[in-house]
This record gives sequence, C-alpha cells and structure tokens, in this order.
Amino acid sequence: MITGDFFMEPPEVLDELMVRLKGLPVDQVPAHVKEFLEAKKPIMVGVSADDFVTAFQKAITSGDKETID
Amino acid sequence: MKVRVLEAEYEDPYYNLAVEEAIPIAVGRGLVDPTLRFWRNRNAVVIGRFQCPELEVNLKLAAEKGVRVVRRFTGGGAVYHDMGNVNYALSLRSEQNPDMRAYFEKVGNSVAAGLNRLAGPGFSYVPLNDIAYKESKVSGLAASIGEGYIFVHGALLANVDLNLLSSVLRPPPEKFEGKAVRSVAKRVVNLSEIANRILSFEEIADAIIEGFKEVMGFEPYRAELSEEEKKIADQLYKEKYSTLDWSLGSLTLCPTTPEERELIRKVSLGKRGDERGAHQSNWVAKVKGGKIGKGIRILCPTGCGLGHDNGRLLHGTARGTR
Repeated sequence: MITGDFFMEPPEVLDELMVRLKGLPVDQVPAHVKEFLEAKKPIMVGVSADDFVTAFQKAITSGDKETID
Repeated sequence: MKVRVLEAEYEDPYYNLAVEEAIPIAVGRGLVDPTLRFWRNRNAVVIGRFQCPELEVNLKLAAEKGVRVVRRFTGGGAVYHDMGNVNYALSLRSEQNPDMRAYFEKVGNSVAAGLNRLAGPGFSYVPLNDIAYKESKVSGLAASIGEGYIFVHGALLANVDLNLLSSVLRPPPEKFEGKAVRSVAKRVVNLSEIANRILSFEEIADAIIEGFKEVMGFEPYRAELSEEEKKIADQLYKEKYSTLDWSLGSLTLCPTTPEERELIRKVSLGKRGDERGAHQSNWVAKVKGGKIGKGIRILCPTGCGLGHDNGRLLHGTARGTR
C-alpha cells in the first residue's frame, strides 16, 4: 500500500507499481521501485523517484520479513 | 482566450466531484470551451487520489457530524469543505506533457491577484500549491493531467468552520514507517477574517475571474453545464464516485479495519452507491507479519493538504524533495 499527498500522472502507474512489487524479496524492492519509475516516467510533483526508494528502504529496515505480501 | 464560466454546485458531494471530473474530460475532447467552475460543497472531507480515508479523517467524528468523505481524482492532500468554502476549478486544453508546476503557478498567481483586488494587498502564490495571505494559507491547489487537458482546482477558505476542520482532519502520525522528516505547521485563515466582513460567494468568484483576466488574459463568458457533460458526470457518479470501491480506495488498497470500513460505509456512500469492492481491500506492500505492514506514506515537501488545529496547519508532513 502506497499512500500520500503527492501528485502522479497517470495515477495508474502507482497501481501498477504495487502489483509489480507483490511477492518480491524485500531487498530487491528499492531497486525495482527506482527502475520501474525511471522506465515509466510518470509526471511526479511533490515527490521524486528517490523519495519512493527512500520510503521503501526505511520501511524495509523497520520490517523483519523477507517478501512483499 | 475565451473561457466559459460556470457556477454549478449540487447537494450531493459525490455528484459535485463527478462534475468536477466530467468538465475537463469534455474540455479535453473539444466538446466545450476551456472552463472555470465555481462551486461549494455541504460538509465534506475531500481526500486526494492517493490517500486512505482512515489515515486522513477522524471517521467517528465525521459520522457523528454528518461530514461526508469523498475521494477526488487529483492528487494532493485532504481538504475540508463546507458552504463557507469557495471552490474553483480550471480546465484547459493542453499539449502533450504540460508542466503541472507551471500551471500551479499561473492559477495561484491569478487567484492571488483576484484576492488582492478584493481584500488585499498581501495575497501571493506560494510554491508548490498554496495561496497565502502574508504567512497564513487561505487556499490549496491540486491538479491532474488527462487526455487533452490540464486541470487545476483549489479550495478557498472564505468563512469555513475552522474548529470542525481541525477536528475532523487527522494530522499525520508522528511515528510512521518511511517518514523522513518531522511535521510542519502552517497557519490557515478565513478570507472573511482578513477582510473584516463576510464576503459573498458571488463577489469572491467575480474577484477571482478578474484575477484570471489580469494574469492569464481570459475573456470570460457565462454558460451552463452542457448535456454532454451531464451525461459524463452521471456515468462517473454511478460507476465511480458513489461507490464504496472508489471511496475505500480499491486501487491504493488502504489498510482499513472492519470497524473503519463500517464507518467509511456510513460516511462515504453516495445516494445511489453500492458496495462493490467493499471486501476487496487488503494490504499489498506489506512484509508478511513485519512492521512494514503499516505501509508507505509519501508526503509533499511542504504539505499539500489544508488542515488546521488551533490555528496551526498540521496536515503537512514534509517528506518529498521536489
């Protein structure tokens, strides 16, 4: 689940990202997030691809399991 | 540029949001001229496209006070609406990949110019998406880019119940996984307080139109919502805005508990709403059993919402870098 007060166009890119991450080993998630956003090039205002990566890295650091559910 | 000016508002906040999306679709298809709409909502919290209602709204209080919760199609933060708000929405035809920031600036400067005529000086556009009077925020902007259109809308605090606004909008939690920097606080203020009198919806709308004439060279004319737009709005209302599926956020898959879901059902269903998707919301980006189960929350650098608590805006945790 990714939520927030940012702007992303087209919005469906976020939904696609979440589907792509499902089942991934968590250590692969930040790289996948960055690669996906750089490939899709959504218009983002208020945040950058790096912000997404950082948020996932922090969340993963505080978690203790191995895959995205 | 010839711009159609509409004053189109409805009792049902879900229909108001359906019309809000129908207009830029019609503009993008070339069915109608570029359009500036003015409208108001009865008590409602309008959340951003990527927000979860249970994270943004005190649902229990909303249910008690009859405040509806509606998801809009643009990003950005949650805003509180009542009849003391003046909402403005600009739909323009656009080229491929328009610069959303540039349009925030154009619209922000136009609205600020209008307010300076009405109750200024002292109003200005503050990047990314605020309009302020000196140090206090009076309006927030949100935007969307669709097929053939760029759309920017905003909510202006004219004479809003700031106490209810502050209690029904939830500030971001202090501790949240993925959060990098602490919350920021900003003052918000009603236009009536600045002007020392109650300003009517009509005079505020007229002032904003003057601002658009001055800054963007608009040539406004008054008209009604077209039949094509009504058809698009009816369809959007039936299939999107009045459904629990949209309100809950089936696409963002919010972490709703059964109790919260029940409250959302109370505050979120349109009159013709159904419960499609009511049982489809689950976590996606959570680590099995791990703390990451609380999700990823990503927020604008200076906050893109319009919240308030005892004179302080709390609904804006800094997070992004752009």
